[in-house]
Amino acid sequence: MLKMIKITIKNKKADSRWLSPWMIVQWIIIIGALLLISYWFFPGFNDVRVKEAEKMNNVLLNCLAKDFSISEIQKDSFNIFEKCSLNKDLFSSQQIYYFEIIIDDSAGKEVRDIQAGVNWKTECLYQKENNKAETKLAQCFVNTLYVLDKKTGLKYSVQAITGSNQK
Amino acid sequence: MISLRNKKAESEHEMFETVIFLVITVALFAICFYYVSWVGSNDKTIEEQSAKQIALTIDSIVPGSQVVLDLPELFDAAKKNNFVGPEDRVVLPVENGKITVKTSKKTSYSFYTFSSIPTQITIDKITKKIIINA
Repeated sequence: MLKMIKITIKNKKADSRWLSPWMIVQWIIIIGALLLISYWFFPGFNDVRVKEAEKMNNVLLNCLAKDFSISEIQKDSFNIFEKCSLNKDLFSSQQIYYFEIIIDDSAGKEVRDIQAGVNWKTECLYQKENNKAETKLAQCFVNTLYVLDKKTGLKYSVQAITGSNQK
Repeated sequence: MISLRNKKAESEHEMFETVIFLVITVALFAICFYYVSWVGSNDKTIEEQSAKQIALTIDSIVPGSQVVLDLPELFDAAKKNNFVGPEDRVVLPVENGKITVKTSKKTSYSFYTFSSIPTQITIDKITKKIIINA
């Protein structure tokens, strides 16, 4: 009998806990956490850095593959910004873009390296190797294309590493 | 008699507590839901999404082509803010590699485009569609 009374008293206490200050604090903490999570993660939905890097990668590879001639690309006068219609000023004045083009011959020997913007090569390759996007770092896109030289017919691999950190 | 009254008072009290608790819970979740939907549809977010969409379109545009973008939420936001006048004020042309979108006199969002292809941005006054010519 005594045991039963004790249980009843305990249950009554539990009922009245619904509106206890501690319960309200708990709810505020839960709602606060939800709001903070949405505040932190919502900008992520508008993050287009990977898309931008991918578009830049496509633009670069497509324009280089078109009438590919290694002798022309190896010239000092070769202007990749002009050939691929890229805004050169942005790559030097703003810390938001990066690209690197590595051209290897069929033996795997590097024959040309063109680079512009902030050097994020380490960050880009780190994310690619680990297959993980580190949102605090610039977002990248890496792609390789095999092309034939229009003059010699020799095969070359063109690797483009592109990155964007425009938020 | 006394114990019956007490029991009735107790159950009324419990009922009152439960109702208040439910009201508070519903109110807090309503605030939370409203906040999340507000973050997703406020003017700043619309400007940001539109500017990025236009910039990405320009990034992949080919010379001699025309792209038509339909962004009704952008013009709805501008209309809501009484940002009236020439429609061209909502999307400003590319300047120094940057596209700017405005839905009110005070707010705007700019986004860079890496392409150097000259573009002309016009807005169809009837359909409210953004036409990008390269």
